[in-house]
Amino acid sequence: MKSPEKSTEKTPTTNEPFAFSAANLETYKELLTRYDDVESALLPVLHLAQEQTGWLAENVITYISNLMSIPEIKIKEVISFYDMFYDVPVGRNIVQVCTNISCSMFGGREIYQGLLKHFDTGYLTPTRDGRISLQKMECLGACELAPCMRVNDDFVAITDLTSAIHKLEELP
Amino acid sequence: MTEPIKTEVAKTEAAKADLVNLKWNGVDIQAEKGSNLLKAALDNGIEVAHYCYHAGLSIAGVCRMCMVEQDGNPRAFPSCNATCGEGMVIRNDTPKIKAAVEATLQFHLLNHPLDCPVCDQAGECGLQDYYMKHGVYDSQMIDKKVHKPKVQDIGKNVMLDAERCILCSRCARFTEEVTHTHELGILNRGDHAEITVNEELKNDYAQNLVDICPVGALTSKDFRFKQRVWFLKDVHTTCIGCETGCSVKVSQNKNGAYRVKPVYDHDVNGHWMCDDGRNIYKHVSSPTRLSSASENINGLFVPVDELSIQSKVKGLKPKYILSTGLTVEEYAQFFSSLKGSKVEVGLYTLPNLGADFDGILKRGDKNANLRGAKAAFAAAGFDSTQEGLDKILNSLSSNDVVYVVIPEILYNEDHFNTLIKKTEKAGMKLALTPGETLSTLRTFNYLLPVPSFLEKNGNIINHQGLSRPLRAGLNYGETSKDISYYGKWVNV
Repeated sequence: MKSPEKSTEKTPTTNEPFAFSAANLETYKELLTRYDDVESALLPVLHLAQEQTGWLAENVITYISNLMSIPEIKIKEVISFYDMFYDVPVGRNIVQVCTNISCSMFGGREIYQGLLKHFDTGYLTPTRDGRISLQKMECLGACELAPCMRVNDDFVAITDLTSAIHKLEELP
Repeated sequence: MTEPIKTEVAKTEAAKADLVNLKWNGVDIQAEKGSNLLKAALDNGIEVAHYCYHAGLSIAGVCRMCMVEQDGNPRAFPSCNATCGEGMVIRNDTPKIKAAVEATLQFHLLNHPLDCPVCDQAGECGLQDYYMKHGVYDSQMIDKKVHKPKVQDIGKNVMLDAERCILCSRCARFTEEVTHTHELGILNRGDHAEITVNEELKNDYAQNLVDICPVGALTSKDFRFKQRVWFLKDVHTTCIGCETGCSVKVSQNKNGAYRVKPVYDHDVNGHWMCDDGRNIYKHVSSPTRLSSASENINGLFVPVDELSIQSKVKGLKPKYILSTGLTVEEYAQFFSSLKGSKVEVGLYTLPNLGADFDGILKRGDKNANLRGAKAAFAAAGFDSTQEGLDKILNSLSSNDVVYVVIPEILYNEDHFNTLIKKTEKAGMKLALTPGETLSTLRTFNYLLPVPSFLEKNGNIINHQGLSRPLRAGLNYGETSKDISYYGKWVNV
């Protein structure tokens, strides 16, 4: 089961220097043109960085801070404010389970707890094979699918814990 | 609004026509048009509860304590984010506002720990003060308080207690706007939001954070647990740490001085002062402070009668080396006592330390009263330059008695030691010291105590040429009246 080399693939240690890939650097420049000032582009730039590395380590923050001339603490404020930025290493797949009203009425909270138990993990902690990180979320905006999960970028309608586990076991 | 210093300048220079009339709780007040509404009230002596507003920082409007009502406006609004206009009728004593402030304070206190008895801020705490006035005394909380990290050493002698913080963001704004070092920020969200330091504090003005924190979240490592604030009295004086000459208050009681805080001085230091200035009082109540005239017996300083020293120096040619830390009055008194006697006088100038000016307040020139000293030397016809000092030092012989006034704060002891080494040729060496008995003073034959800056009244002139007062603190009054201690050795 254990394959630490795989889980570290997307989780660079803070010692490794981080830099945008050439393609991402182009995207970054394009992002800047969309806003009046550099600070406004911070959210999409952080998403871009997170796409590249999986999570926002200290070295990523330092790189973006230098790149955009925004103080590190400001970037940390933004990252810690939003749930969708990760300042801890996460698994290859992010699974967000909605526990807001509609979904919890259909058992969202129980499904989340059940998944934690099944994968023997905690909030955002990657499973031992580095495959999945579970995240409890407030409303995902897909109440018609309740109880609902978001697996990476896709909404997944589930019916109960068993179907959720079934869906997640298919993940690479 | 973001730059209060500019508004101050405008206030003093602009014509009075710019003033507008307001009514606050029925009282007529005047304020500059377009200036901050809360500031107008505070300047006119009206009490308005506030946490996040600070005249030296930008407006945040996060504490919601300074709510006011305006005639013709159905909504209450925070006065810190409003500007003064002609004919405004403002009230903050209506039941609606009182209820709003009460409710807001309840929220501020939700997660605040009840550790006032062990909190250093107690006695000067915004939460305590407003709780007595606006508090709902019975807690309606049924949930447990959120716990956050306490006792964090965030560097530069500042301790952070995240639990006590009410997230006014004054400190974050200070590191952003005043020092531009961006060390502090508010991480996380809602209940979990807390002030966090990025790595550690790195600026030279960190102790100001302790001053501006309205609660006990940021406390000074140097001061905490040393003294209760209600046992202290503030003496308004001037910092002698460098040529800037910031207005400060020194908190002291009969046991000595405990801390230095800045006092708002529009022309010199604004609201702030540097960390180096916080240590200027330490030699005053130091246990190694020289308390009586002492004779050097094989490296040990033994108390001795001043009259016996006078008999020893009789007949020798007196030569003086003054420091730049004396008051204008002391220089005047000294030079007037020289009249008719052939005495050589030189001035020891402290060497520059660090950058000439750090862009905020701190200056590399550490001579507190260099302007005053130079003026006094020039008026009396003496040479205050280094050449003048060198001339005296080179001409020393065994027929001379040299009096060296030790600078109150010696930043660079090595530099001073080279001066002391050059005095070795003199037949007799006396040091007049307002500070501690340093090991470098071993070469002197006698030590004589003189008052420190906390024990004398007078004026010093800062780098701008502005005169700022030194004031004698508690229990030091007697020595301050007689300032002849430098000159009385001239005509022995």
